[in-house]
Amino acid sequence: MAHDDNWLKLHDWISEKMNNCDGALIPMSPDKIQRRPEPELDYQVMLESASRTMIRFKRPERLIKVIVRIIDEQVKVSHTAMLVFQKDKNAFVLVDSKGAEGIKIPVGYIRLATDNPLVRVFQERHNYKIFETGAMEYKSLLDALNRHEVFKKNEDLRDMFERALAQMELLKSNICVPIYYKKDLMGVFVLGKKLSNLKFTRQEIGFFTTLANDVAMAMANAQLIQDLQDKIYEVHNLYEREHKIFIHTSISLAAAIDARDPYTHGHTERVTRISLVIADELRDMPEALAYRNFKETLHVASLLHDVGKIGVPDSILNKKGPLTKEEYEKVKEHAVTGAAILYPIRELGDIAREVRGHHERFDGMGYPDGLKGDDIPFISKIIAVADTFDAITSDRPYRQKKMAEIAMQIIRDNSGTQFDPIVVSAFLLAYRKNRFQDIL
Amino acid sequence: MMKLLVVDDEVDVCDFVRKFFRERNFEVKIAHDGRGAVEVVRAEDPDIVLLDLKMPVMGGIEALREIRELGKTCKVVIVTALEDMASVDEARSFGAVDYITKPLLLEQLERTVLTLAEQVRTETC
Repeated sequence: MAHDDNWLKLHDWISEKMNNCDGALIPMSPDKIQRRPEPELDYQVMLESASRTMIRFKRPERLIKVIVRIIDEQVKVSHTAMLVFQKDKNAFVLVDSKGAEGIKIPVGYIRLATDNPLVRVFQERHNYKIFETGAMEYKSLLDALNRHEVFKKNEDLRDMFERALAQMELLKSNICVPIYYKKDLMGVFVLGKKLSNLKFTRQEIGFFTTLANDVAMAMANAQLIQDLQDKIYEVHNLYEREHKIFIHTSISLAAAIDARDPYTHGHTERVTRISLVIADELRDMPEALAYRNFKETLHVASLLHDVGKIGVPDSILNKKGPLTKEEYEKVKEHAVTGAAILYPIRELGDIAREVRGHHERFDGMGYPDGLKGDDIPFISKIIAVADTFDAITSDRPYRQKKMAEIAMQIIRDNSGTQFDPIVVSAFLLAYRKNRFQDIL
Repeated sequence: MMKLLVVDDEVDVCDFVRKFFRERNFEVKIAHDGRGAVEVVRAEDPDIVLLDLKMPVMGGIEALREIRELGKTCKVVIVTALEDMASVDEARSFGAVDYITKPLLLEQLERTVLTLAEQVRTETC
């Protein structure tokens, strides 16, 4: 029973180590870990528990460290190391190593080429011809080389195994355990001799091979997660970059529109900033949440709200004095023109309707479609308020502060007729907080 | 006994390589940077030097140059990262006889050093 006790201790130890890994693991629910196993419980049950937790490791290096530590501290061997295949080096690199008595091979210092006999024996699965467990033990291999039938018949195989044995000598390994994922050799446990100098028992070898299976699964898992995270990061970066270009393009376009109209210089920029301030007060409204990205849509829509002015002749835009009815009709077209310009652009398709609606009135008396109340896009209503506020406050011979006060009163007075009352109250809230001070 | 100097700033590497070559009947000396390497070469006159290129205080190339200035003819093997082949060429111009890339192949490490030891033996005979 002494032996069983050791396995039980190991079980507890693994569970504890696995669960103490700085949040690298999702803790298992207590009912899944059998705290007080029955006496007949064998190491398989323990391994199941270990593997269930192992699979949750997100970083392969951490997992390898824990595994090597488990073997080193619990199985009492002179040294423990792990070779792992690294694609970029096309070799098996010694990634972790621990040894109380034997050699401690420095991490990342040694590699085994893919044509290394030890690697080939495992890669081509010749080890199964000799050892049913798949693990290769130095002494047994030495015996087998002298006695086993297969070596008498096959010189090449004998040669390869002899050279594999020489590799084990180089690595001072008493037992090598292959780690397979599906059909590929992923790595090799390289273990020294037992400190007790005894032979490895079948049970111990079984423990190593099962552990190797679990490690393979966990590593493949961790690798998948890593790949996925890299991918997400990459896509995110790509998006960020494209997005920046997109916003900058919108800004340049807006600046181009502004430049054509000497009377409203800086208008677009101010409307955008005013809109964003109002939007800040509205961001938790259901109408705002209905947008996939409310703030960004508003940002771009307000930058481009007058893009249709491109279609209004200079002679009208630059005209001093009042416009004729025909000229005014021409100016009014800019809402439709703007939407028509933006509509075909995939990224701006949604913004087209916001731009088209920025001269609609809450009471249905606006243009171009005479939309009423909630039929008017929410962002259009915000731009409408911001547009009016800026039109009144800018480019007037009066003192700014006075004009802002007048503009505020006009907007308040037109709440429910020209403007949506919700947007107006948000505007008034921001106004009272002095949030437009820097913009005007 | 053949005298080997191992120069690497990583203590674990030095310990490991020392053990490895002691078992192969070498007398092994250790240095952790280029400056130390030059000192050991001056005092101990090793037959073979395993010289890491990237080290603090004084790098491998610099150390190699000073070793040559001392008039020492020890066989120098460069140990360097796979990516850094340019330095290998530079080291060769200062008379490095061979190089090993990290992570290294144990059999290559063994073969390279044993072959050089054999050369030293025949040259001194």
